Amino acid sequence: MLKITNLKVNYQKQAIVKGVSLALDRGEMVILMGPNGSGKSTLANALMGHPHYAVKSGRIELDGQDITQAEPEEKVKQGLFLAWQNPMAVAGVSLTKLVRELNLFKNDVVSVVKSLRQYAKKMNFSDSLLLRGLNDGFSGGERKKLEMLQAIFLAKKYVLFDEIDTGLDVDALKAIAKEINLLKRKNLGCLVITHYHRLIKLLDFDKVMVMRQGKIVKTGGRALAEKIENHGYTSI
Amino acid sequence: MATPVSDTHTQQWQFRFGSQYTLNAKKGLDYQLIHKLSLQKKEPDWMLKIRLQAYEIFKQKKLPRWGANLSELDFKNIFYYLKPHAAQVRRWEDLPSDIRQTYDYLGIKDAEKNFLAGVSAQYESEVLYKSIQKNLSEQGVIFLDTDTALKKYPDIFKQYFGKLVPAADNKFAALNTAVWSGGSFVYIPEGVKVDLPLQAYFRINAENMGQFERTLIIAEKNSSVHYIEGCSAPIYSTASLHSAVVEIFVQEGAQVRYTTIQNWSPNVYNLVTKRAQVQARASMQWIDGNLGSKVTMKYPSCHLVGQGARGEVLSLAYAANSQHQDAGAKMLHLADNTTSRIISKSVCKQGGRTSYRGLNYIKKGAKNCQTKVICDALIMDEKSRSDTYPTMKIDEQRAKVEHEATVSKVSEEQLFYLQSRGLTQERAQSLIVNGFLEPIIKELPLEYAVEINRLISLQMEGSVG
Repeated sequence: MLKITNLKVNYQKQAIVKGVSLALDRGEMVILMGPNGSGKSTLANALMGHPHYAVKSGRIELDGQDITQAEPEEKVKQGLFLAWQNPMAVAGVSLTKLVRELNLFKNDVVSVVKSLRQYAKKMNFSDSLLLRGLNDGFSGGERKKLEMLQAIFLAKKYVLFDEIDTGLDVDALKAIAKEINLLKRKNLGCLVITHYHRLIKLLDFDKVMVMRQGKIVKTGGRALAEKIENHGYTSI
Repeated sequence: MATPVSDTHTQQWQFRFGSQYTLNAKKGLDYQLIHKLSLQKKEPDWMLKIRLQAYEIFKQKKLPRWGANLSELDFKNIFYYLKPHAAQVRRWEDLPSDIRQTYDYLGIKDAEKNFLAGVSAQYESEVLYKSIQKNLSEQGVIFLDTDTALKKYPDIFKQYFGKLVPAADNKFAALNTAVWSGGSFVYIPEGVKVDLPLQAYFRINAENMGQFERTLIIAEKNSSVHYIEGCSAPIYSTASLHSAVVEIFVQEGAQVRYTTIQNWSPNVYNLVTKRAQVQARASMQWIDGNLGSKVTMKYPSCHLVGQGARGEVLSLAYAANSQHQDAGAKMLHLADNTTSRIISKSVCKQGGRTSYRGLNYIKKGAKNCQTKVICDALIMDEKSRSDTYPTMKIDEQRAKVEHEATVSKVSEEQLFYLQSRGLTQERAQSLIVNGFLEPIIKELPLEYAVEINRLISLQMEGSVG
């Protein structure tokens, strides 16, 4: 279980996340919604250990281990993965190179590259992008597909998707929703941050949580998501 | 990963003088020393004359007012000539342990280590060396140290020596001409294509790593050769000034590639003049990597004098701590249809400084020339600095000129992005640097590419504060 207890996070000395508690089980999918500026991305970045987001108090536990202060790479090792909202461009460091550097697949680089290609094809993602620097000159949609591809290959237990759906066309959205559902079926816990019902309705989720002004204000099911879609956050 | 070597660069390179040096040689330069040097080498009179004239010029010439800061360079406090055996008295055990560990980390063989460290002046692979030499001489190729070449081939020597880089070119060319010792002499006969790269360290010679190397390469019509100077492993030097001159004559239709990886210890001023004259339809490529030294000033040049001549420089610079790499290239288009390209990539960190300095010149009346410059700098932290000094002097209308320059900083966000994929911050840094340099590194011979990549990760380890 990924367990967050009363987490408070500052960004540029301002309190953004003001005491969030939530639990995510393996094989569970939680949708996190909320108006702009409610602290969703701050929460995701702080969970991963972004240096610009200071955890002021509270606790992050992963399968019983306290990882609140752990280095990001340590969190990855423990099984946490973040798919970024605005992933960074790194010239000259391709996904193929990254996978080799991580040495996750021992010497079997050939078959990894082969299956990377298969997944790329499924998402209508050009092969040549696997050899180009990460996100370097990628379109918005390509960046999101690359994040998804990395989630598939690198996430071990829990994945945070921070607005994976922005910039995607309809077909890509469907393909990505399918992959998120597959990850859930493979017993990964998924926290999906999104604004859009068009993604939510494709997902096989268990819970919807609504964040507002740094706090979780409501938890519900599909009906809650539909209400927000139809009547906005003011209706709840 | 374990950190075998501390990154405190200065500590790593803690500089020690072998006391033997002071017994065997005298600091400073005068006429007497030049006479003595020439006599010891049993040189012809004309060479002594050239040396003495060059010394005159050296004394008159001022230090360049542009480029890196050379104000701490004290000409009186330098050894200008060490007898070969003096360079061999240092023992392996006398080397700082960090340097020994670096060699181990790079996986350099014992014999080679001793050579690099200056413990042995010979790279002990005589068998290999001899078979290479036999193969070359069957093709009529001459590959010797420059001193021996002067004795054995005085006519070729006289025809080319100092013709491209005359002593009066600059203060350091004058100094080199006055006191040169060692370096390589390469002569490739017409139509001969040398398959294997010629590596300076296969050439057994006591003065191989000399301070004032003089290299002369002549590639006759339609011949081709790849010459490799230096190596990416750090070279421990006790001399604080290295000032080499390289002259290359690329005759019609010939192809020459010259690869340098300079990694002197950080006490060294590395002030080098490198120039090639490129005839019709011939091509010259300089691959110039500068990793070490305290100050480097080096701008490999191509004088494109024949129609359709082509010149290329791939320049790579890395500066850490108080290092300053002032490097670049010069392309002079002096004939029709000549083309050139300069690609420069530099990385600075921990207060290092990199400068790209270049000249692209198209002479009036040299029609349809094309010249292109791409220079990219990567700055790793706030303490470091990078500048670009491009000069474009285009005196002909019918020309195609392109210039692209980028400066990028490694951001915390970028590092965190790679960390969020499972890399430590140090490995993220070295991967970013590696990715940035890749376009040049992939042009290097494989073993050099591997060594440079290892060296970069070594430099990045333990460096994140």
